[in-house]
This record gives sequence, C-alpha cells and structure tokens, in this order.
Amino acid sequence: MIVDPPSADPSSASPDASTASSPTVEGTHRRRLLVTAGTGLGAAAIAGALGPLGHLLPAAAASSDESPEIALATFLTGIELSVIDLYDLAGKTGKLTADTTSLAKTFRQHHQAHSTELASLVTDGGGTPPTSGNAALTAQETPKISGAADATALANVLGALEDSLAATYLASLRVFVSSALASTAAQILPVDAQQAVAWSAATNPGGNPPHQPAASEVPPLQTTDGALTVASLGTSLSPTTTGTAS
Amino acid sequence: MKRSTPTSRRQFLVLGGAATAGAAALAACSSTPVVQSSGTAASTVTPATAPTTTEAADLVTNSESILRTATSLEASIVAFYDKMLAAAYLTDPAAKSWARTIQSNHVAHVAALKDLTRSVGAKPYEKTNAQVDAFVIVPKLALADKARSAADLVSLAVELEEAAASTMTLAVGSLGLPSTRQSIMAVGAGDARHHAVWNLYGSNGDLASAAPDAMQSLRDALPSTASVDA
Repeated sequence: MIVDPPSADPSSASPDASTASSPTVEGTHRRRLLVTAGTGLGAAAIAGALGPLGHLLPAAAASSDESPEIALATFLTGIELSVIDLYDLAGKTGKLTADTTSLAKTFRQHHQAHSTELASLVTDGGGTPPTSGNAALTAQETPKISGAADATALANVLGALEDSLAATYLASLRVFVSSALASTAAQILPVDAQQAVAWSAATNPGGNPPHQPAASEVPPLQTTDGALTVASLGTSLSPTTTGTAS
Repeated sequence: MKRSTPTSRRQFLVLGGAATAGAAALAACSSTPVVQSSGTAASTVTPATAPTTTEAADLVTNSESILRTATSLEASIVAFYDKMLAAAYLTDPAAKSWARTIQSNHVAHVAALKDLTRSVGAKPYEKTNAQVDAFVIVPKLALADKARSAADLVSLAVELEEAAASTMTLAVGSLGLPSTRQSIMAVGAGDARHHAVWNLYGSNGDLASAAPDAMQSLRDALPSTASVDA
C-alpha cells in the first residue's frame, strides 16, 4: 500500500482496513457518501470514522454543528494566510538574491491564490474564512526566517515550509469527503511540492546546469511526514489582517 | 480569483479528443450517465437521493479503470526512461542521473498503483499505455533520435511528467474513498516534483520554471481514448 504506515504522527494514519479486500468497497463507500454528503452529518460521526485523523480537526468542530471538512478548510486557509505573511517577512530580511526575490514574490502569489480558493469553499460550506494567518505557525516560523544567516539558509527554511505544506495537503485528502474540497487540495498539493523543489534548487546556484535540486527533494512518493496539524498549531489567528482572503 | 471548477465525474468521463498526452481527461468504460458534482463544498453531488445499483456499479468500474489506466501511464514512463538512458546522444551526467532517479521513482509508482488497484478489488494492469506509447512516446522519441537532440528528450520528459501529475490530480475528483484519493496523490505529487526537476534542467536553472502555476493544471491529463478499459 502507498499510504504511510501508522506512526506517532496521526496525520499519516494507515488506510481503513475495511477497504482492503471487498471488490465493492469503493462503490459502497461512494454510495454512502452520496447519501450523506451535504446533509450536515454530525461532526462526531465523521471524526469517529476518520480514526486518528480526527485530531486534524479543530476542537470546536467536535462539539458544534460545523462541518469537520469546513473546519479543516478554515484551518488551511489560516495556514495559507500565515505563509503569505512569512513570505512578506522573508522579503524584508534582505537575505534574498535577485532570483529568489522574484521566486518568493511568485510563490506568495500562489499562496494568495490558494487562500482565496479555500476561503471561497469555506464560504460556500457555510463557514467564515479567516482574514489573518495562523498565529502559531507565524510564531513558529518567524524566528527561523528572521534569523536566517544567508540566502541559502533562508531558502532552506522556505523549502522546509513548502514541504510541510505538501505533506499537510496530502494528509487533508484523508479528511475531505466532498469532491470539491478534495479536488482543490489535490490541485494545491503538487504546487507546494514543486515550490519545495524550487527552494532546494535555489540553494545550489552553481553546477552545470545551475540550480539543480537535491535528490532528497525528489522521493518516490509524497508522504504526510511533517504535516501541519490543528493539534500542534491550534486555530488561533494572528491579530493583523493578511492581504485579502476572498 | 476565478474558482477552479470542481472535477465532476461527467467531465472526467466525457472530455476526450486527440489521443495525445496534451488532450483532455480520462474516461471510464461506462456509458451510463453518472452523478455530477455541483459547485459547492457543502453539497458535492446531485441528485440528493442515493444512486441506483447501476450507478454504484458504474462508479466502482470507473475507479478500477482510473487506477488501471494510471498504472499504465506510469509504466509507459518507466519504459520511456529506458529509451532516454539508452540514447547515445544523452551525454550530460546530470541528465542521466536524474533520468535514473526519476525512473526508479516511477517503478515505485507502478508498484504502488498496482497495490491500490488490488485494494479496491480490481485486477492490476500489467502493461504500458498503448495510446500514449503510439501517439506520444514513439513518434517523439523518433524525432529526438533523428535530431540526436537531448533537449528533445528532456522536453518529452517534461510533457510526460506533466501528463502524469495532471492525470493523478484529475482522478481525485472521481475516486470515492479518501484513502484512495490520498494514495493516488502520493504518486501525483511525486510526478509534479519530477516535472519541476526537468523544467529546471531544461531551462538551464530558471527557478521560476519549477512551479509556474498556482494550481496544478488538469489540461494535460490522459484523454478518454487512453483508457485501458475503453
């Protein structure tokens, strides 16, 4: 199986064993999804069905009628807004080169697009999208960015951030039931993976050709290792509004 | 920003056209209309009533076909890298190293997709994709060989990796189980990283080439005529 084996990181839970053998499991599950999708199935029931991945969901969702999916999409929107703030901070460090300044600007735009897309889905799902970033992620990454010694160190920090985002969106696919949310997460995930490759390449300006990424950034399969979780970051938002999330 | 259109099962089934890696989406073998996705996150499928047994069976078949066809694409790409590595005019050690690494990854993708196919109760596909081979790989390899152009080989690698990433991503909207979606994107994200590597190589290190788009494009997913169960 492709999916990560069970580990201490709940974001990498193994697949439901019940899916392993029945030839109609995929169709049966689809039938259940078709019946329940959009009907406001209780958060506790969905969280329970997700097993260890339930901790990906904000605590509030467990006791409210808010859809767990929408709660996760809201969390991810806050993450994207935080990343936008962090790219702004990176630009102010003076440690980016001409090439990486342009790169950071482009990737910031990508994350803006991600936050806009997610915010739209949150709104469509009856939720309220955040307008500022995840406070814990911002607090966690700010000293790394501000304290980066040089361009290489800063590229490494940003690359690690993108890797964690890719892992996070892969993990989210085990939570999202709706095709719209899953498809959006699936379209964001490859981009974050590519951005991680780009930052790795940025740390290697020499060579022939220049800017070749490390082989470690090109593993056989994407994993959920290092995924950002509600359990570790919470859902508190930064006090300052970030760009526009709608 | 324009919202990306949710991938409806009907879109995934119907879009087709020229059998090239640059054409539209993969179709399943079913001709029965299936439920479509709406544009909202709260209600992703219509109608609200449970599907009939026929529709449920069609959905199962579609998932099997998707996974089998995805496997065939990855297998075609493994075979392509054999050709690329065998080309005497591919002399750059860096290109050869990447080709070997990425080919090894695709071997892992084939194995993973076969496992995934078995997990949904279907028989894994054991061959390369005949349509991709006939209409993309073979003719473009011939052109590269004729010109003795390593750049052409790299361009073909870029095209195939983009097709693979697009195909896996597009498949998510049509697969029912979150676990299956996650598993196919573990592969798709890997393909996207390969695409970035070859773009960087082919552009002589233009960093922006690694991730040119904000959202993974779906336009280069396999066409309907490339389904192994068509």
